[in-house]
Order: sequence, then C-alpha cells, then structure tokens
Amino acid sequence: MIWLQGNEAVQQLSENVLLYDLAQMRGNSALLSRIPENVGGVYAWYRRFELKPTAIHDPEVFTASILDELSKDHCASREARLPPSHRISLQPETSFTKEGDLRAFAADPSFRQLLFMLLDNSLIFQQPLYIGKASNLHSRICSHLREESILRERLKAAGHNINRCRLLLIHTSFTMPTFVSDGADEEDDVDNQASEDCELSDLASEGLVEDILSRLFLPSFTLRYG
Amino acid sequence: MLIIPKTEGKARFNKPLYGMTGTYTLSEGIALPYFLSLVEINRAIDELKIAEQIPASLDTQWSLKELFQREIDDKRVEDDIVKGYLLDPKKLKFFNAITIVLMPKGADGKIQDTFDSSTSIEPPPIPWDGTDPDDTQWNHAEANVANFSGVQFISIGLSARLRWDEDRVLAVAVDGQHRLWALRTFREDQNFRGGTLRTVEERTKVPVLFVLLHPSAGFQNALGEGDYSIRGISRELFTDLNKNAKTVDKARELILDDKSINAQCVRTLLTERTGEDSKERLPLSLVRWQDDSNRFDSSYYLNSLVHLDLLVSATLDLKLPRDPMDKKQVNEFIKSINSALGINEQEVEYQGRLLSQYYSEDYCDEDGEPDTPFARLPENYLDSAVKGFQVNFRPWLLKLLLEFKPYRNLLKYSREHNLIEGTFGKFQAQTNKHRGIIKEQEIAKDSDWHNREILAPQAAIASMKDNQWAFKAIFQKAMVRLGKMVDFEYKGKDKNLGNIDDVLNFLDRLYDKGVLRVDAILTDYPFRLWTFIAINPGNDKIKVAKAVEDRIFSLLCLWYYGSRKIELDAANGERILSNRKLLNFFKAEANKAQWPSCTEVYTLLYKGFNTNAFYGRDHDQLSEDRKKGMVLERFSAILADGLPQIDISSSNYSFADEVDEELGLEQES
Repeated sequence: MIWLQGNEAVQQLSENVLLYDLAQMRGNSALLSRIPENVGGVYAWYRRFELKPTAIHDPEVFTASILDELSKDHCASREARLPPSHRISLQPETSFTKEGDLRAFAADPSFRQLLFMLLDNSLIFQQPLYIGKASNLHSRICSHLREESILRERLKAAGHNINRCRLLLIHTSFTMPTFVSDGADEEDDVDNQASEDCELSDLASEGLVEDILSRLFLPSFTLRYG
Repeated sequence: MLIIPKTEGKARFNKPLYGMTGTYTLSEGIALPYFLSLVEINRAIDELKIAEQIPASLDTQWSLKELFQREIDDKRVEDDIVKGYLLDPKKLKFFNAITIVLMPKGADGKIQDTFDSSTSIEPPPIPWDGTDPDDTQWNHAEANVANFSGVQFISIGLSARLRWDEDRVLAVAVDGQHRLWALRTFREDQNFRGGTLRTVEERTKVPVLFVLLHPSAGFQNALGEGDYSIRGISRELFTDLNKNAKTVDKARELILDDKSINAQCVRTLLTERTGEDSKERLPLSLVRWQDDSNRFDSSYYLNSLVHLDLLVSATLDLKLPRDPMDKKQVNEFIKSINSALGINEQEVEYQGRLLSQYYSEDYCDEDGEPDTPFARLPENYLDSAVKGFQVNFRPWLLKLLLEFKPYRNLLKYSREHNLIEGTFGKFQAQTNKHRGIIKEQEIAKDSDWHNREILAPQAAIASMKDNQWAFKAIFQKAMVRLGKMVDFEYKGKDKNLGNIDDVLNFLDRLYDKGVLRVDAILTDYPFRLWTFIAINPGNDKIKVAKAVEDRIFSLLCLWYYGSRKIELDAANGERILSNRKLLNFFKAEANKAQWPSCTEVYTLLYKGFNTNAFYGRDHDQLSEDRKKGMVLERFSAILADGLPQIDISSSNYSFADEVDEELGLEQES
C-alpha cells in the first residue's frame, strides 16, 4: 500500500501540526490523552473510508462497498427562510450513473487496488467534514466526542461515525487554563452552527477565522459558513 | 418515599392463615414455636410490616435502631430489588421465607414488652365467617386453641391456623424486610405499578414464618438471664438471622455464576478444573479460589480468583447504569459494552440484532422512552460479549499473566515438580477437612510425606515471590493498565508504544535488574526506590490505595516511554536524551500527542515526592527552588533505574548535552 500521508495512530506532520486516526484507537480517552491541554488552534475532521477487507479480493463485495460509500450523505441538509413567505429545505443527494462500469472494472484487481489506495489516501482530495477553531482544542474535541454531541449526531445521521474519522489539529497558541471553560467551548460550538451575529470580543477573532475557513473550504457538515 | 397501606374496610381480626406449626427446642429450657404459612402476595404486602412502619414516635422511646439495627436501604430496594430484579421481565423470581414476629401493641400504639393478659378480649368466632365451611373444621375437640391479647392460634397436630387483631398486634419482619418493602414498592409506588398487581402476579404466594412468643402457643423460656421481653427476643432473632444470612462469597459466585459477564470472562482465563494444565490458561490448581481474598503474594498461588475478577472489571470498565430506567445511562452502558467487547469495533449482537437495537425495540416504548429496566447485559448477548473479550483482551492479558518472567518461573518450577497435575494440585483442591484427613492418612504411611509433597514446594514458591512487586495485586493491576493502553487502546500498532511483547520485554528487564523488588534501593539516595511512590517513608510498608496504583502505573508508563524513546532514537540514529532532559520531554504538553498522558504521568509522580516527609525536618526552611531541585534529582535517578543500558560503541548515536533546556511546547506548572 502506498501511503501519501502515512498510516499511524498519530502523525506529527510538522512541529505544531498533528493528524490523528481515530480508527486506530479505541475509546475517547485514547484520543483525548494525546491532545495537549490548554492549546488553542484550528482543527478539521475528515472522512475515512473503510472498505470491507474482503473487497480487495472480491469484485462483488468491492462494488457493494463503493456503492455503500457513495450512497452516504456527503453533506448536512440545510433549511432557511426565503422571505417574505417561503422556507427552503435542501437535502443532500448523490446520483451515480456508472454502476455498470463500476461492476465491469471491479473485476480487474489492479483497478480495485488503485481505488483502495486512493481512498485510503483520500485526505488530500477531501473537502473536510467540519472545520473549527478553539482556544482549547482538548476541551473542544472532548465536547465533539461526547455522546449525543451535535456534530456526532449530524455525522451519524449521514452514516458517518466520528470515532472512525481522521482529525487534523494545528496548534496556534497555549492558553492559561483559567481563561477557557468547557462551557465557553460548548457555547462556541453551538454558535458555529447558529445564525447569530457575533459581537467583537475575545472570541470574535476565532469566530472570524472559523468563518473564513468555512467560506473558503466549505466543510460539508458545517451549517453556517459565516 | 411514603407508601400508605390500604387498610380501609378491614375487620379488626384479619382473615385466618393456614399452615404448619413446629417448635425449635435446640436450647435447653427454651421452646420457640413457629407457624409456617403461604400468604397471598397482596395480603403479605397489606398485613406484614417492616420495622420502620411502627409509629415513628416509638423510635426515640424504644430505640428501633438498636432493636432492628438495620434501616431500610431505599436505594437498594428500588434499584436492586424492584428495578433490577422484580421488574426485569427475563428473570426468574424467587425468594425464601420472610420471618415475622407477632408483637403486642398497646392502645397508645407502642410496642409492649409482653402480651398483656390482664385485659380480656373476646376471642373471634370459629369459623371466622359463617359462609366458610372449611374454616368450621377448626372448631374441633382436639384443637389446641390459644387466644392471647389479640392473637388466635389453633393447632391440630402439625396443622395450624393463625389470626391476629391488627389494632393490637403488629406482624413485624425480622428477616426479609427489604424483600417485603420491595414487594410493597413494586405494587404501590406510582413510578412503577401505582397500586395494582397483574392478575398473574396476584397468584404468587410468599412463604412466611411466624414466631409465636406466648406460652399458650407453646413458647417456653426457663432461662432467667438476658432480655427476654418480646423486644429483646426480636432483637436477638433479627441480629442472628441477618448476621448468619451470608451472601454467596465472591469466589464461589465467580465459579458458579453463568449470567455474569465478569465471571464468564474470568473463566476464559483459567483451566476448567484443578489438576489440569494448559499453556494458554492459568492453571486453576495454582489460583487461589478457596476464599474471598484477592492476595496472591504468599504460599503457592500464581493469582487469585477475586483479583482476576477485579482485573477484568477494571479492564472492561463497563459503565453500569446507576438507574436502569435512565435511557442516557443505559446508552452509556451499551456503548461501553460495545467499545470493550465488540469485535472489530462492531456492536455486540445476537442473531443479527445489535444490542442497541434490542434495547430500543424491547426495552423502550413507541416514543423511544424506556418502559423496562436494563440493569445488566442480557443473557442472549453474553456469548457475543465473551467472544469479544477473547479477541480484544484475553490474548494480551494472558501473555502478561503467564509470560512475565516471575510468573513464568513459578510455572516452570510447578511443571518441573508436577505440582499442577500431580499430588500437590490434587491435595490443594480438597476441602480443608479432607486435606486434614488425607494428610493424616499419608503421614501414617510415610512420615515425611506432608513436608516433601506439600510444604517444601509451597515454601519454594513462596520464596520466589519474596518481596517482588509482581505478586502484589496493586502492582499487577497497574501493569495490566499499561498492557491495556498498548494493546487494546492503540491496538498494539502505535509505533512509539509498540505491542504487548515490547511491554513484556520491558517488564522482564526491570525484573532482571532487581528494580521490581519492593525493597529495591536507590543507590546514593536516602530512601528506597519505591518510597513516595508505593511504600511509606516511615516504615517501608506498602500503601494500598487508588492513588498508589496510579503512581505505580505512572512510573511504569514513564519507564516504558523512556525505554521506548531511547530505543527508537538509537535505532533512528538520533541523539539520546539525558535523564533530566527525558523528564523535561515527558513533562511537555506538546509531547502528549506521541506519548499519551505523559504530562499527567509526570505530574502525578512529582506530587508524590512533593511532601514534607521527602524534604525532611528542615522542610519549612527550604526555598521552592531547592525543593524542586531535590525532587528532580531523585525523580531523574529513579527514571534512570528503569531505562535500558545502551551500548555506545555499537551505534552512531550520541548523548545530548546535559544543558537543562526545555523541550517542546512546555508550560511550567
């Protein structure tokens, strides 16, 4: 297998950049024990493709696995008011018209091998699932991982398991623990998904960074792009 | 919780109860008559009382706490007995007799010392109701009829009939009061049934044993000593019954219980019977299974059943719901089961149905709200869960418990001397009494038999354990935590942490080096190596506490991380950090990404040293800098004791400078 980004539980991509593969750890504490406390920064969640192990040898299983991945929602559904008298609702939908081709090509082991390799290395092609900025990454990721967290539920509804994703952390600062509380992070988390105006405050610059990144990279499970 | 009994419209005397009578005459001069009856569940709930139902004003005057010694534990009643047992639709429900003492009650509601014979009470008629032809039979010439102070007790041979006046007599439970209260809660509490039992439930009859403390019922007490008032006797009965009703001990439960996930998992680690050896299991012959003790640091034991249970329980870390009707808690519990016991991170399942699906479909109503308590892993799912244990935990756990050098040595000695399958193992598998008989028989034939066959091997194994941490339960738990982190949490695939074989090699090296002796010294330092971590500075005794287990785990982690880092750096031709620099490295928050919780591990150990006992008599005159220097000096010496010796000549690495610079993104605490 060719690895473009490596294949370890935790990879240090550069001094302050870490990539975590949650599928290689068991339990939330296994991840949280590897995220520094009181570090602020930007983070992004990425989808991880896990085709059935037998798919590499079996064209049928291979085709079914690819179709299964294709059928998962690729972004969150959206709803908005259309003033003065309408509301609009958008649902994700993926159509794939080349099932026949896929079945035909799946018979070729080198095609299966190629697709396997590309999906395993898909981080470099991917639109992130979610991008955020937090003054305490540890606390923010902890709230994302919590049972029934907003992001966990949103991903689950689309067939994605947050505990099987990849997580990229870019540390930007150390902060004193007293400056940040879990509550603030929770609020932050909700803010990011609500359409409220931010007042200029300590958190305003974080919100702005988040908005800019969301606008630029359109993370598919973020509801508000700023 | 206050439950008002349904007493409206009752006659003074209750309806007759029928049953059998007998007498305990096991103490000379004492005859204690009793009456055993099968009481319909609704009558038992209505007519039998618990101590706390005696009017509260009596409490101060009659010292109910002293009399009954045990208060009702409402939480146990609601959570364990009602939600966890009576409301569980899948459980067989059975319990043995409730014991009741009939106690005389005065007009003021207070319990009397004796049944008052001065006031005459009109005995109730026989039959109790003219329309009951069966009851008429008790109006018989051979019947012994006792009417005393509101009690009517009739016996004909073994058969008997009992009634009492509920205004003058209280039928109080001296054994089974929690069960009785649970039945009442089950029927009356609005949170559960709200006043009614189902028709099928109403058919239940509860065995009740009434103790009759009146001479006309056959009670005799020729002893003049002690408190033989009704209260005094009740107190004595209550204390004896509750003291002697011992629950099944933990070790037996682990051997016998087929419904407990822990017990089943523990059993996968052991041979099925004594006298049986296996390379892949702990031989039961060498495991302490005969009692409830978790210790295995003396005699011939390789481990103990109770400790294995504690290990499994801590390793699985299942989040049992405190309230089995709370959906969030139950979901957490199911999640913990799946996370620990799901194979390839799939959910635990039965016939294709996932556990979470089973819960939402069978334990919740159409709105998704729970309508049935979920207190334990359902039996159908046990097989799948045990298979999960065998895949996720058993291999590395057994590796640690069998292949760590001190255990390997013990097993080697046992096999060489045929202790598992031979006479020794067979002897140890006997009951205490049988061991005595066999010993006498064998000594009669060969006077040295016991010394040679039993005592000598026992002593030889005991000497192998002498002062070794490996045989201390608290250390083994910490060691298994390290194994779990490496092989379960990171699947044995993390390049820094390595796998269980790396952990085993690391532990063997520490053992060979003598570092894992409880009394290991720290050369050139006043206290022993393990002082301030796990042994007391004053008397060198082991402190047994969670904080100590955490410190042992932390030290093992730090030694392991340090060893791995040195080995990896050496292999990669990178510079090797000095001990002080290694400490700084693991103190740094940023390095947690590669070495899980290294900062916490460092901080926990630092705190262990940061005590007045460590700083000595002049502790109040030392500056904070001096104290820090003292801690770091000792800390660094301890770290060095657990690190591997690197052969400088054979590789191209070099030691980093001894400059005490900070590494990584670090914050001072």
